[in-house]
Amino acid sequence: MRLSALTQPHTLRQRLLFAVFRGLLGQVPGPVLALSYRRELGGKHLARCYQQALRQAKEWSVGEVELFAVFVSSLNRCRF
Amino acid sequence: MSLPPELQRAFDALTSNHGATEPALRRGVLEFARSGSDTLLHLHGPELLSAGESPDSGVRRNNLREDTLRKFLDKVADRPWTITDEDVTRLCTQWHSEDLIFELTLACALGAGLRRFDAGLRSLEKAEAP
Repeated sequence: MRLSALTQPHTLRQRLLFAVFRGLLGQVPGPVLALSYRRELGGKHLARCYQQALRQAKEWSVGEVELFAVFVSSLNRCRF
Repeated sequence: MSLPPELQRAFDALTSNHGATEPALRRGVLEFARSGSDTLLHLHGPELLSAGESPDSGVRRNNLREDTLRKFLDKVADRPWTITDEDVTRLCTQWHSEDLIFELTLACALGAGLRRFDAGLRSLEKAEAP
């Protein structure tokens, strides 16, 4: 189940982004929907956190970080 | 415990920027999930109960709504994999506000994440202690 509050785009940028995802994948991925909601409230800043943690870590390679993310997600019984 | 700058900005935005819910309520839910304390939730109980509700609603109905929301937030914080479509449908039926449900879920998830982050930092401190 998806909340319609998330699936409805609010800006032109979101409308275009959602249209691209729907064209390529048939639906907009959940994380994109969650991060697109009122971006000033959470999405904009959380996206930067993810970027920093998953792509800009200095001590580990991207592959190692992805492996950590898969492990943590599996503990949360969540597909990564 | 201080947070890395990007995480602190996310924390500040979620607990102070404009949304469909009161920032104080989001902060209360976040702290509830981060520390297990529900003091702030009690403090902001009236806002919680009145959000999305008509003024003539009865106390029993409010208690039921609060109980449903509380159980849902417990699941988000501790065992999100047990959340079902029925849980979300029940919340939507009782609260009539998907924005409220999502914003409080987001606050609760960030709080639960920070609880794990805090625990990780404490473990590192212990391991590095002489």
